[in-house]
Amino acid sequence: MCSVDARSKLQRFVHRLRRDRRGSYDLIQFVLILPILVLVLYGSFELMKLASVRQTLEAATYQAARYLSAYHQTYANARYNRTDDDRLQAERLIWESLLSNPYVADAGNVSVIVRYYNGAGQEIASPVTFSCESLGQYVSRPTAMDSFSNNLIFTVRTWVTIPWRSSVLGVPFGDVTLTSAHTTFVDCGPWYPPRIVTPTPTSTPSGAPHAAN
Amino acid sequence: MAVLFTGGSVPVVPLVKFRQDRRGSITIQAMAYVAIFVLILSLSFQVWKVLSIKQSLKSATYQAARFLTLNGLLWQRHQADLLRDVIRPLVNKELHNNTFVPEDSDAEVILYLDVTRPDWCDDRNPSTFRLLVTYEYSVPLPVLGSSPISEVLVLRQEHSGRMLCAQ
Repeated sequence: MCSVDARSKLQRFVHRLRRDRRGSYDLIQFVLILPILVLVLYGSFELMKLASVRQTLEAATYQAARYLSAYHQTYANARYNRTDDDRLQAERLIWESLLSNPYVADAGNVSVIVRYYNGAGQEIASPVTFSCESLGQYVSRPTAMDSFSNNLIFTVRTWVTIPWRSSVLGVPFGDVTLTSAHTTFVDCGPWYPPRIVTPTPTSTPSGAPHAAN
Repeated sequence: MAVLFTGGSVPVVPLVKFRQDRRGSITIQAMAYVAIFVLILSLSFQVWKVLSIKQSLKSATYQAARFLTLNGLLWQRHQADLLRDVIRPLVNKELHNNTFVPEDSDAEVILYLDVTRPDWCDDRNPSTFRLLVTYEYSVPLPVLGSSPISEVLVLRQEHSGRMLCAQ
């Protein structure tokens, strides 16, 4: 008897609920939109993480390029007390910069590839072998410009592959590869022997000295 | 009278009926929202691309300016070679490091050198330079009908400085 009453009440409640149209539009719309909103928020967060890693990679590559621009074989001798492998130092800079980002540090098995290219776009072993001592000669011989600029300008290109642990509906993203490149030049500084002709006083027909060309 | 007429001979009843018909209004509303959402996403992506290229242009100009500061005076007799062989390649290579920059487009580089006195390095009256780099970027706007319309943006970056004397 009791169960029949309960069943009847339940049936009446379900019937009333099905006929009730109050709030149906807003509620259903909310239920439909909520998962999309959650997905968009989650996607934004993942994008923010990627942008953060990309920004760190940009800064790291720039630092490496700047380092190699300033330190090259001209300084790597006993006079400057520098015999380290500059390329190794630059790549260490990239690693240290990347590991300072928590999303990279926590990612696990991260792989970094660094490659160097000369002004003509050819891959080179190291950009630090340009000889600054001959810069003045290159400048005074315009015919040698092509090979000169090819060696002077260089590009550092970095690839970072990170296992991305996030997933959408159980489907993992897999590995994410980001790349960055910066072009700069071998910084010989203004100290090398300059091609400056010191004016020599010569006498003019009027007797007053003037600077010769 | 079932059919109403306006001043001309155009029947307005079908239009009134259509306006009063509320069936499927949610679908139409959703379609409008989706279209606007896609348009906003597309425009945001284009803005992001332009900002990224602008940043690369700034970096490229900075590298060229740094080179001019350090080595500009060496080239005072070969300014055309300096521009052709070092500054232009340097700017364009840094610019093309950006994946959004098409391979077949280059930046225009204009260099003004003010060498106070050739063959003489004077720190009290330094030689200066002004570097002007412009890049034309064609922004593809969302497709309307069958023909894509595009707008050419001229991105401009300028850098000035003094050329250091070699001591």
